[in-house]
Amino acid sequence: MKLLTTNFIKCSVKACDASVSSFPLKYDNQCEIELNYEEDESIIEKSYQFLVGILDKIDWNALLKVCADLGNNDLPPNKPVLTQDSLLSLNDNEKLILKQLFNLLINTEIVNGSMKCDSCGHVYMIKNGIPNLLLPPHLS
Amino acid sequence: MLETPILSTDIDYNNVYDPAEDTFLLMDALESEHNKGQYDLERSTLSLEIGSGSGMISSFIIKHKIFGENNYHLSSDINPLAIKETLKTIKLNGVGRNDVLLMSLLDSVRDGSIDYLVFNPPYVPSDDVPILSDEDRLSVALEGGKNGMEITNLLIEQLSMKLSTEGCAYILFCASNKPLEYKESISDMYNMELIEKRKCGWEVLSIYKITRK
Repeated sequence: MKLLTTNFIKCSVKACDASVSSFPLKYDNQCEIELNYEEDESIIEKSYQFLVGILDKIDWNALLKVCADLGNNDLPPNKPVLTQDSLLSLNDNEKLILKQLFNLLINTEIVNGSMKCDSCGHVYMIKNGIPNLLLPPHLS
Repeated sequence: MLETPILSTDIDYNNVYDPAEDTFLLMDALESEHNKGQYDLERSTLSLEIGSGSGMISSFIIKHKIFGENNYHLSSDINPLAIKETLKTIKLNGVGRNDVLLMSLLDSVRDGSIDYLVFNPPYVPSDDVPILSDEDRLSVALEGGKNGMEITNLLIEQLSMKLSTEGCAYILFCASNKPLEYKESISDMYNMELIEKRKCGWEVLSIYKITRK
């Protein structure tokens, strides 16, 4: 499961829908992470527009929380301010931010581990890179 | 015509739905929507295929960037054997930003996040909605209970919460689902626009684009 996906999934239990603590899920700090960091700027550049656009959709506080769960406290506390227009004249710092975002969101995968709902406590497993959000019959 | 994705020769069709006329109709509908140029957006979008099965349609979406250059695609299924095949087929057909998950309908999706939903539901009328079991993993992909609409109904109930402001859903119906009557019954909340319709053997299948009013 790519780190970006953690920003779009919440607890499956219907009773948790109204609870703010059902998103994001709480990731176990023992999760096995695979990093496939890309250093080739030209490959990353092809995703600049996507990265700037996806920032709009990302819940930054949820991303901070998930990263902290997994032991990464390097993200800036506020969402970087980047627009499609700023892509026309990026400074080195902005290029670095986009590179970090690319490697974090797309090239960081949770391969094995678990995640838990802070509202109901249900634990969901991640196996071979696939998160299992299905509920046992008594909860669905 | 956009190229049809290739499938591995060892897909387990005893446990995973084998692409058929409905699959191809849905791909044709997505292609015609793509060709209207409406997805060439600067903003980034999120798409989700529910019930991705063999992975044919999701691979088509990823391979041809159906929803534009700046899309992130998720594929989901309730059948663990199907999601393995989905992943295999996506990898076989090249690279693109995507992920896969085991999930039931829109149960685990963050509210307001989906821009494009794609669903070929179990639409065949049956006495009951089948339950996934080790003995039978195929019926859940086919049988939709009363009028073949029980699963689609559940999805539509969740849909308006989960779609983004301008989000839409592409859903397949067969004639026994009575799509025109259904369109009327949800008209307070949703618009339903016919995108493709085709006679396939003894079935008449159609793809509707559903948007919030």
